[in-house]
Amino acid sequence: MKNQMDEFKFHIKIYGSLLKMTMRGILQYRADFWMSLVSVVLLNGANIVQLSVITWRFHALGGWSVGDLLVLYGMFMISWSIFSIFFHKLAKIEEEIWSGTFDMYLLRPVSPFLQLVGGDINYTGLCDTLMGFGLVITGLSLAGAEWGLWHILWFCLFILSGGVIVVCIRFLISCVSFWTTKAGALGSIFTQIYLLTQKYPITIFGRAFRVLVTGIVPVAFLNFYPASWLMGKPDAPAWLCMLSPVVALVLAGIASLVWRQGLRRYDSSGG
Amino acid sequence: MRTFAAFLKTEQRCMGLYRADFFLKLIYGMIAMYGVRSLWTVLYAQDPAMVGRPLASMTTYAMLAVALDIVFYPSALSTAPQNYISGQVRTGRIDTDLLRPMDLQGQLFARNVGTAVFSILWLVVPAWFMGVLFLGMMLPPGFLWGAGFVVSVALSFLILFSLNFLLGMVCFATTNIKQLTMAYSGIITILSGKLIPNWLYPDWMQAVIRVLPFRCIFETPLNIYTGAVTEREIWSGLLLQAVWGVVLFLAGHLLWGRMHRHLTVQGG
Repeated sequence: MKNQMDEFKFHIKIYGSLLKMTMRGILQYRADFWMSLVSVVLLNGANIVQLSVITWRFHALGGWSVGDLLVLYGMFMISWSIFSIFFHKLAKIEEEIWSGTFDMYLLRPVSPFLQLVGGDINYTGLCDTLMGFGLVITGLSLAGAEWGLWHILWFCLFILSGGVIVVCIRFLISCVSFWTTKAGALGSIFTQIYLLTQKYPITIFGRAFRVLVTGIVPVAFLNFYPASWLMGKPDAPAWLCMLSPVVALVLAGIASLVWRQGLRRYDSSGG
Repeated sequence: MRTFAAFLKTEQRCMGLYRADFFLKLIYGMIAMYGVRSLWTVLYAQDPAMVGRPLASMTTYAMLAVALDIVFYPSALSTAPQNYISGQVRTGRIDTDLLRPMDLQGQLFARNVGTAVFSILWLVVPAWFMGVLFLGMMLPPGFLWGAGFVVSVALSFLILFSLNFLLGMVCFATTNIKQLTMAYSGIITILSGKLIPNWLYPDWMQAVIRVLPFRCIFETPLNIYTGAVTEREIWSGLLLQAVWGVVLFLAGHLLWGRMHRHLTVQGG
């Protein structure tokens, strides 16, 4: 037990020093941050305009007002940014296997996972976090919702669970590249699916799609279920919405199992 | 003309290598089409009068927009002028393009037409076919509308190419065009009628959109296909597209002529 504790502390220390190294490199490009903020606003601007125009003309979308929709959209962005800031390298496992750089991680006496995620921190992802919070706050004031302490605590828990869920899904997809070379394709299909759940409440879709994003690729737990409980929507039972942290834990367990299996199975591309 | 054909052929050959990629893009297209179909079905149920046209016509409009977008998204094709130029400028290989005995705009046009024709045949047509089979997409109301749509799509391409080329010219002037490209793509997404039908905008915005070329890229062909325009309006729509296409293409030509004289290549 003590041994494991020591190992854990060692890992944290390594992660810390890896982060410090990357931060030092990044701080030299401060102008990038402002440009990224502009990019994020531009990238999401069209969707925000679309949601605003639709709700202006039709008053709501499947019972969701513009405020509700902004909270839905914003929560997705915040959870997603946890992935894009700290864990985005996980999406690159396939590339690293192809180019043979993945082997490097296996040679060093530190967990390959840590080297992978510690190797890069993408602080421009912070722009997503900022815009996400901006949208959530705007949405709340537009919807006239009043959150007590209880809601805020759950909001934080939802965001964290959402972050874990994205990281795990993206990580699992990457792990597929230990077995086949089609991980990139799966990743892109995943993208198409979450592009829909990010901005629309899933109740506008058919049953099959709702089951898919709830039980199979649980992206609906990033924003739809949390937002529908926080905004008091009758779209889903409260217990289902609050399942978000459980989903995150289960996924994390699955991801760590698959990762171990994958590493055991891995043989280099011989790059 | 023969050089032009050779460029076209080369591009088509390059594209042929990535069949698996095409299959995937088709799946993305289908998912996105399913999304907009659900969206408009719900909105139609909420307020049919606001949609302003029959449900099938609206979902067809939205799904066809998604299908066309696989190829017509400003930076969708690697041979789109702004992508190609910024890539070549960054690597310093643009000088080989300048050495060729053909005007840069002509070269890029030939390349881009090659990939576009190929991608339309391999992506847009199958997506359209799947849409008709599985997602309840309508066929055009008559031969004239169908033919008008095809011509209109070709003119849309000309307009899009010309706008992209103008953006590409900016790549010579600045090294970081990422944000500029995003802003440009955002403007096209919002003002072309592909994401939000223009008739839903407030009146003042519709007035602005009417005098800009962007709506010619998506709204014109989609309105023709869905039969939202009369026979006469088909002709006037196509004429307007042609005028914009020629004007923007010539603008690119003139601008390039001026820039070419001042261009110095870094000794990469």
